[in-house]
Amino acid sequence: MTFNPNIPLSSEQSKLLSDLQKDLSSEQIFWVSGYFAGVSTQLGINGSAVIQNNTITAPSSEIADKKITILYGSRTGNGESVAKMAQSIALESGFEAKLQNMETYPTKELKNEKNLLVIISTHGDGEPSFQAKEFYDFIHSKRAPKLDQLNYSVLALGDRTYLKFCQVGIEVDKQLESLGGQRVFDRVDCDVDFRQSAQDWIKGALTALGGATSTSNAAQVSASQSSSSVLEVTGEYSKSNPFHATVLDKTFLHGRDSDRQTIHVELSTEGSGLTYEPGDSLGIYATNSLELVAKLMTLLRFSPDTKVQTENGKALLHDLLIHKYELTNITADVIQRYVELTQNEELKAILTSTPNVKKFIYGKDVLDFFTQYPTDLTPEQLIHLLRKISPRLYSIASSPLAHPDEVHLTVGVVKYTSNNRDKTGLCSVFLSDRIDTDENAPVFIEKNNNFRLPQDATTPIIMVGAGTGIAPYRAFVEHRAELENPGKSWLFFGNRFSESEFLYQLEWQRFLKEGVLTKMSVAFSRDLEQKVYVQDRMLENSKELFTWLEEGAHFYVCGDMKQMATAVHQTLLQIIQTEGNLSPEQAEEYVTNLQKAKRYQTDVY
Amino acid sequence: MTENKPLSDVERIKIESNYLRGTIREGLADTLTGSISADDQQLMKLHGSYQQQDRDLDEERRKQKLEPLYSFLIRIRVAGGVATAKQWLDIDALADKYGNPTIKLTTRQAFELHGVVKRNLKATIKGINATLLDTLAACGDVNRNVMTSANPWETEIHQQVYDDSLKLHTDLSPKTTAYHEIWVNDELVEGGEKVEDHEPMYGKTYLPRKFKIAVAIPPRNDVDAYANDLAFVAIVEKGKLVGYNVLAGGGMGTTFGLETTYPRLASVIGFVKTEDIVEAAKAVIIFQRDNGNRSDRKNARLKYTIDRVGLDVFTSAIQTVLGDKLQPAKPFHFDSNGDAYGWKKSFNGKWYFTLFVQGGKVKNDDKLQLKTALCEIASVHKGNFILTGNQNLVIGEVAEEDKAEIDALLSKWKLTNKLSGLRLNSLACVALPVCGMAFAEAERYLPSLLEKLEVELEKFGLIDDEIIIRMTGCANGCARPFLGEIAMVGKAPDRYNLYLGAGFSGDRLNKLYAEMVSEEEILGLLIPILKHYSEERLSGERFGNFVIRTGYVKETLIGKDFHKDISLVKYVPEK
Repeated sequence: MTFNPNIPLSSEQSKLLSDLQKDLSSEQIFWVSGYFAGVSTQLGINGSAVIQNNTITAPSSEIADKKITILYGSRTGNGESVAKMAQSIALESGFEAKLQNMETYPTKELKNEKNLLVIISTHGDGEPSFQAKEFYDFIHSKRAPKLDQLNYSVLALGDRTYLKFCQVGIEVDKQLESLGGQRVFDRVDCDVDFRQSAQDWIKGALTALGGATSTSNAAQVSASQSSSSVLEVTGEYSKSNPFHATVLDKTFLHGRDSDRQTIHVELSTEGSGLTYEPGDSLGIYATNSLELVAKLMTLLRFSPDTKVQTENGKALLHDLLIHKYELTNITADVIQRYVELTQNEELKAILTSTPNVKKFIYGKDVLDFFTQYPTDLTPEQLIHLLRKISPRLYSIASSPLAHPDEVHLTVGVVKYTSNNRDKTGLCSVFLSDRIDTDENAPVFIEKNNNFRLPQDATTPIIMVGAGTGIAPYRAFVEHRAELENPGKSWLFFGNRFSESEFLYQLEWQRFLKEGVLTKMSVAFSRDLEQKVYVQDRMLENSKELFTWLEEGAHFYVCGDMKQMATAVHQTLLQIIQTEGNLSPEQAEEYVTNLQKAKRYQTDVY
Repeated sequence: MTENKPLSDVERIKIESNYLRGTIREGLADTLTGSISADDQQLMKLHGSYQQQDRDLDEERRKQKLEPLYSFLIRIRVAGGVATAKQWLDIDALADKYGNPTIKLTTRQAFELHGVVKRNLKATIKGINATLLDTLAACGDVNRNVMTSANPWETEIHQQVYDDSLKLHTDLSPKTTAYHEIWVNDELVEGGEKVEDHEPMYGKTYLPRKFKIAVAIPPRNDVDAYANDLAFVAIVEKGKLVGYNVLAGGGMGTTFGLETTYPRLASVIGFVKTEDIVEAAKAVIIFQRDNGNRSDRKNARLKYTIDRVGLDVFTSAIQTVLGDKLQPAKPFHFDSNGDAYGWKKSFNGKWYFTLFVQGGKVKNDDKLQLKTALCEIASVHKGNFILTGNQNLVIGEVAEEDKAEIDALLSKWKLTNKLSGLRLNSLACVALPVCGMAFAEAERYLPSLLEKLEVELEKFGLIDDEIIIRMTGCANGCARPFLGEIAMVGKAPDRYNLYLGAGFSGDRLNKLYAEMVSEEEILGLLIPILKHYSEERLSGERFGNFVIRTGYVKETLIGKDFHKDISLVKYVPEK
């Protein structure tokens, strides 16, 4: 941009603005445009002309409507929390903002929408969440309407460790455009640490939508208020301000004949003000092992006192590697940055193929990677290449009613050998090996409104889980034990060995004896010559299970997605079809209705 | 008698069990626990199985939020202790597949498998039945495995005695169909008219307590005849078996702190002809069935019944049933209750080899691969295996031409190594970690104590002297401790009561010498006595006799005097 002499700025001001612009992303520029528009409004001048030329995307002239729909579709509570944040900011910005969950959104209304913010997550191999599936399918179907009057922006939620990062958001963004919608603000793709970028997107998108209405004060509100009053209430613990929870107790749950371990951890949240409900998860920021960091620094020939320049000043590289960066796995984005830096042809080729990347990163950590692809790096380059540590989430295994001020976790300890080295999972081994009783770990509560006990405590529940998937059910059963008149409950549990891997066996026996748990069916795959799994136990109890469903039971599945959840889903369909005398299509519909009624909830990973 | 006292709870369980069924089937199907109900555990004994748990792991598993590591002992009845080579291999395979994987040769000529988890119980017991052995009545309030002097081929008499034992074994077995229904049949027979099960001899409540029978052939008392509720002692006249002396009221089991409980040697009550042996046994069993104490299980064995009613009353009651068939007893003499080791030739020209098995435990460890060795022998052996009453094993019926091959295998696996006389006469029960009754170690610990004693025996020139030493983890008496010339009975972890002075041929009980002693105290007390024995024993004098003659303990003449005339010593270490 060149400044012509007619603009009312001094040369210093011009330079400042010019310098500022160089460092800003397109989104930031757009946000700044809105900000100044707001400021000018407040000053009572028609300031929009001042920076009008700098808008990146011109909003279509039709958006004069103050009505806005915020539509979200995600499995975890993340989408919902961003949507609520957006609604709150929008309301304060003078919008008439309506919050809509994709799961219950009447798709026929889409053609009437004028201003739409879409928040959508990606799961597994680039798939929408169950909650978003119907909306996703609808806009990609022949029935999808023309959206010529629509102004929209998309926030994509995802996890960069997955190859098809934010794939669903990308597709929805594209599809809305091809249906005729006007993208008023560029899509933002969020990694697991989404809060800051989501906040930026909300501000930008609202400004863009409001920018068309010259009197909007959205920018001002979002700039001056949102960060303090809406997004982060000072003093409240959150993902960005984790609470340091003390370890009260740790115990290994497997008997000595097992070659694996699962650890039960009890943490104190006393004084934190943190609250949770059964179904929620606990996020933990773990630190890397000293041994791994030392090996990496030796490999890359960094002396132990190597310092590195960061945005917050100089820091010890060693400390940053311990606390801030992922070392126990390698992800596509790290390889991408490495290729950008080194132009390594071999890796470049690998990056072109999803299956090859998958194969390449399997069982590899950062040390393996740099052993295989050595290169000279400055400490700053290393930090630039690496991915920031993400907190690990674990389904909470306790009820706040049964254990006030405590959070219990059931964590599978990840230890394996690959590339001739013993490897350990970051957080599970942090909990099992690197943190002792009375020490503390930074934690936060991650809400999950899609895995909840029925509102009515008398409603029967069927819980299916394998391995550590039993965790939320301990919370469920403990919770209902504290409630008046709880309904029937039935737990299906699977693991490998009954003698050594019957997680919480004594507790389930007690719950059964007390009648808090009505029935338990277990499948131990390695006990017998013929392997049995939870779905086999479901089939054995086909008739009774269907009766429970007919009585209104809620059906829960928690645990491994690939191994278990798919098989359980198929078995459920089979049971409904057989016991209900239904066609395959009718059984599908039965299950879909269960899902819509929130009577079929999953927490799979 | 017992009319005024309520029946013991085990009586209720038996009555309600519908001939030993209880809820065993349901209990086996419950996958949420490795245990079965307390009531069914009582009934399971009569099916030949005890529920146990690995007590070493109890505390660890409680912290792991896991129930105790339950498993089951399965006791396999082997009539007269005789098993085929094929049966040996089958039992060995079952131990590998379902057990821990050792085989215990018991003091009553049975096999025991340990560590069988509940879900494998049926397959294991079914597998045992497929080998034509069974577990019915191996434990519980019923006549157990009938013991018989080992090696029925030693003389022709042994063959006849063995045949009589088989008759007792068969005729005294429970007749309930529950056993086959639960363990052997694949399906419950349904639909047809309901057959009322019945027990012609035992009735619904079986016996008040366990009942043990042994058949001995003098001069060997390898079955410890006197320790049994009922024993038959073969009487041979002019080279022919004419019948058996009848001995009744023996038993080892006691309870610490209860002087109303005591070991007792069986009393000789008469003689019966060979053809009357089953009838005589039934008369004694029925007397005990009707007169035994069903209120207090600690006073329920036949030995207490006899002492309560009086031996003369008991004898005349049996006489009334048997009439002339019960004749005055004939003279007999035992000279030892141990086994004669090594190669011996049988009356039919075949050979047999008696092998010492430490604690009766067939296993592989760093020192000895006994389990593998015996499998290898079994796979070429054309004869039999005979379990002895001393936890040892006879490789029987070896043809002259096969002897070298067996001998080579014995050498290859170091089974012919020389052992001390003390070790060769040692017995130990299972005890910790699996036996629920044990207060202290036995089978796991005795070998190391023997090593320490052997060092001293060598010094005193006693290394080859036969001295009977027995160790149990509690006072219930599985390894017949009160017949040990030296015996240690566990009272607390690493603490034993030390007894001395039993007869070498199993004909005299021992006497308490020191209480609650540790290994240091045991060694400190025993070593000077052994030294003294080596220096001042009379010619041919047995250790048990020596300690009485020289005044270490008083002689126990009858069971009721077991707790009398005790003067305890304390070990004072030399400074």
